[in-house]
Amino acid sequence: MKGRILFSPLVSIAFRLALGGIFVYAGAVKSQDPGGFAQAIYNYRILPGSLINPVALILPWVEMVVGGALILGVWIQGATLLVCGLLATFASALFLNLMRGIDVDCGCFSTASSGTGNAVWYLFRDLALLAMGLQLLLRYNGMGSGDRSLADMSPREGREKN
Amino acid sequence: MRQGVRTRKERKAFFSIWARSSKALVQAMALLLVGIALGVLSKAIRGLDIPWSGGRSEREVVATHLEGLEEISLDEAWKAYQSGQALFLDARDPGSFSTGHLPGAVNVPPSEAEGDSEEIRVLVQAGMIPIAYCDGVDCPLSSELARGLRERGIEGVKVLVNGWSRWRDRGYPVEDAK
Repeated sequence: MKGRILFSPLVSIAFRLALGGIFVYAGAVKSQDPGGFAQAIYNYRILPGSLINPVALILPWVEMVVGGALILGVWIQGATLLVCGLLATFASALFLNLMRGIDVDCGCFSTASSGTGNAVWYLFRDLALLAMGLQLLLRYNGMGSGDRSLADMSPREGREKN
Repeated sequence: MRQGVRTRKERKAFFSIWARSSKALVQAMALLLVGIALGVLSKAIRGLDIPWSGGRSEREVVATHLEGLEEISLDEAWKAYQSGQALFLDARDPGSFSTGHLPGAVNVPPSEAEGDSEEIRVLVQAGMIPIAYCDGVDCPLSSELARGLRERGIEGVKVLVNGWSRWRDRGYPVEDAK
């Protein structure tokens, strides 16, 4: 019963729209200030210097594209896979810095690189988003099949699943 | 016979999962490429001044960290220490602090600035010179601490860039782990 609710079409739609909106917003904010975002990436002290600027210039657009795909239901299988990959990467970076005691702003939804970061909260938030992503990954790549758009998510499909 | 049916079913299930995974991978790569293309296009159209390569120079990094803050040179910090006025604030994590720190330093990671701000305020009002430091040119912790304290009304916190390494390498006294 719990599984049915968790993997119901309505929950998937809600997760898709939420994750999609978050990724589009996060990407849009960071694309406005790639220099500031580069500094935020630099503060993590994980990537080699030569990769920081390319990542700062590209990553916000990848986030926006993936977010847009989730919202529109286009290439949904690939979008969920990419979203989970990105969130897992972010979680690893946050966890690594938490372990190393490097306390910086995460640069998740802004390009701020000053002020005190709350690494535990950032990690918890990222893992919550990853859980949503994994639900979508299982639904679209494991339990369900084929592309589904908003229009495809009809109540009829829900009845079929039950 | 039943074994054969099960194997066929298993095979079918395996290929179904494999086909789905391949499709997801191809789509993910395509989305990634679209994102990269848009990023390249955006930089070209908007004429962003951030270069593709070259990384970030040491000076650039220090300037970004110190924006709006006051830097203190190693010689000035040494003079302040000799005159007994230096209040060293070690912004590193407690683990690093416990392995060694500047003489008389107080361990204040940026996240703990609020808890220690009253004590620091009293010492600053008594004429001590607050000097925040951490380790490494690219370490943002000392600047974050200085900003955090300024937000709590403690002005004049100076930043000793790459303080721990430079102080130790100069041969100045340090307090080692006990």
